[in-house]
Amino acid sequence: MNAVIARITYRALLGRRRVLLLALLPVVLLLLAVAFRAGNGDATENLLDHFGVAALLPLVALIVGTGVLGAELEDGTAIYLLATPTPRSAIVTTKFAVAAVVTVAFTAIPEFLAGVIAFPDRTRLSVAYAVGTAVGAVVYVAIFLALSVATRRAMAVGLIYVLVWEGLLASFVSGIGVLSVQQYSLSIAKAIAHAGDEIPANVSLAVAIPMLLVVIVVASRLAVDRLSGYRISGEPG
Amino acid sequence: MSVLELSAVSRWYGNVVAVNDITMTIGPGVTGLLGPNGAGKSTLLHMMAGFLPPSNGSVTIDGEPTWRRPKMYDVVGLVPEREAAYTFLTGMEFVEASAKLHRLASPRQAAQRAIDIVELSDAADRKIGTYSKGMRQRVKVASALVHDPQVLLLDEPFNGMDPRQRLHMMELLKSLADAGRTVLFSSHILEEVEQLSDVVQVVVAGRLAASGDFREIRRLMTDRPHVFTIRSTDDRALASVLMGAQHTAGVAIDGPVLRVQAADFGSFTRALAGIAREHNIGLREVIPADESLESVFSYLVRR
Repeated sequence: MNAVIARITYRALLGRRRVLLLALLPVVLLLLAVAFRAGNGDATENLLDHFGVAALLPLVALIVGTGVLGAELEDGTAIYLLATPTPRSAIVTTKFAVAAVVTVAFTAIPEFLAGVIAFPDRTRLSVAYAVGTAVGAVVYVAIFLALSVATRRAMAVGLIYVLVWEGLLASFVSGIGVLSVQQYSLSIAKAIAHAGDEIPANVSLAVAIPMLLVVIVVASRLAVDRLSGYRISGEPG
Repeated sequence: MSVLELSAVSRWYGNVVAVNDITMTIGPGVTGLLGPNGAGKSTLLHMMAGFLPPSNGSVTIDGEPTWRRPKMYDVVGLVPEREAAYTFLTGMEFVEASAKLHRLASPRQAAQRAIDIVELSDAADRKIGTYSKGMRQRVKVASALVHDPQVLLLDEPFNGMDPRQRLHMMELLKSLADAGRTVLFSSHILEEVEQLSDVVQVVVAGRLAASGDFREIRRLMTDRPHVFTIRSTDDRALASVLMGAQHTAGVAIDGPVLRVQAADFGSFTRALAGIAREHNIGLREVIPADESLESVFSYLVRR
């Protein structure tokens, strides 16, 4: 961890126009929660799962995860961090920590609030979804951060993972859940919630926890390795 | 004292060879890396700065490879060409951050010193986003100098600077060289290199075209024949007159233009107007045909 890099990263991240998009998605979730309550519907999954875990979480994580370091690599400012003796692992760890904190703040907290608004008498469900979301945020961010160092098309690759792999394939082929962050989140939420709450997780906790730890470690290692071998532009000049 | 060493270095991208078998040693003092755009200067500089591995050969600073070795930035400072900067930071915050990342004992003082060196004290508390191009260039230099590196690498440092800033930067680089630092800068402008460095490395099309004392290379450059294209009221008459003139090495009529090869640049241009007037020929256009830097370089390569 490096305090200088953390401070610069926060300022860069929250100063960009992207922050508006970051704030917009949670606001939509909260508005939906108010609407659900007014409508008295029983659509728990649709709100906290389909919108919260399946849409808000990966999108915010994608924006933040690719933004903390990828944006600097893209615009060339990262060179001022890299042309110093700072260990590359410290740069990655710091960027990862900042991205995780910001993503949790913009996903797990609104997820909890949305649960409390929509289902005031089922606090445990809200806590379950909030914790599941927070853990999912950390895993997603690790993946998207690594992607942003490995490829310039991190945003596109990340979207394809979220939309096609998790959104489309995972709902048809249950085995894919083993490689789905969304399923890890739901699995954790399910373990915390009351037995009667129907949380559609198709991966057991015993699989989800080791898997997500492996994903975090592998992604971080990859990010450190790619950053250590960072090259300035490919074109001759 | 630090020495930068390139040994049989090549770098290619797919089928494109950007740097072709270059060997050079750069020691204390100011060295200019001169070459036309696209010659491979930046590629060389990126390899020296540890941001690109050579495809072949080795790039070392004091015997240690530059690639994948962040510790070398303890002795190396880099001023990249790209203008990008943390626009939301003030100049002071930016340079101080660099000082902290270099783990200096008193980052604030080091930052202040570096900012003073580049004469940016007045604007130190303004956000970089409000800086002019020249100021950004200087704050980048301050950030690269903050840890008083043994080796300073600058990629086209004079771009965007006005003449006064340019002069000041040249003085700064000279004083660093006098203090025993190894300073290397790239440029595609002959005069910059001429004013600043005794030693030049001329790179053309990825190859080292000339290396060594600037005056020697300059002589090679000025000794070459100069070609002019001329348009006048009577090209044929002018051609026949010039044929007999002392300073002419060759004359050719090439469609609508007259091409004259001058034996000596200075005396030919001085004599031309007089000769034309004497024979009542009006000069419409006199253009030195091969004055572009590229032609100067390619002349050097042919030698």
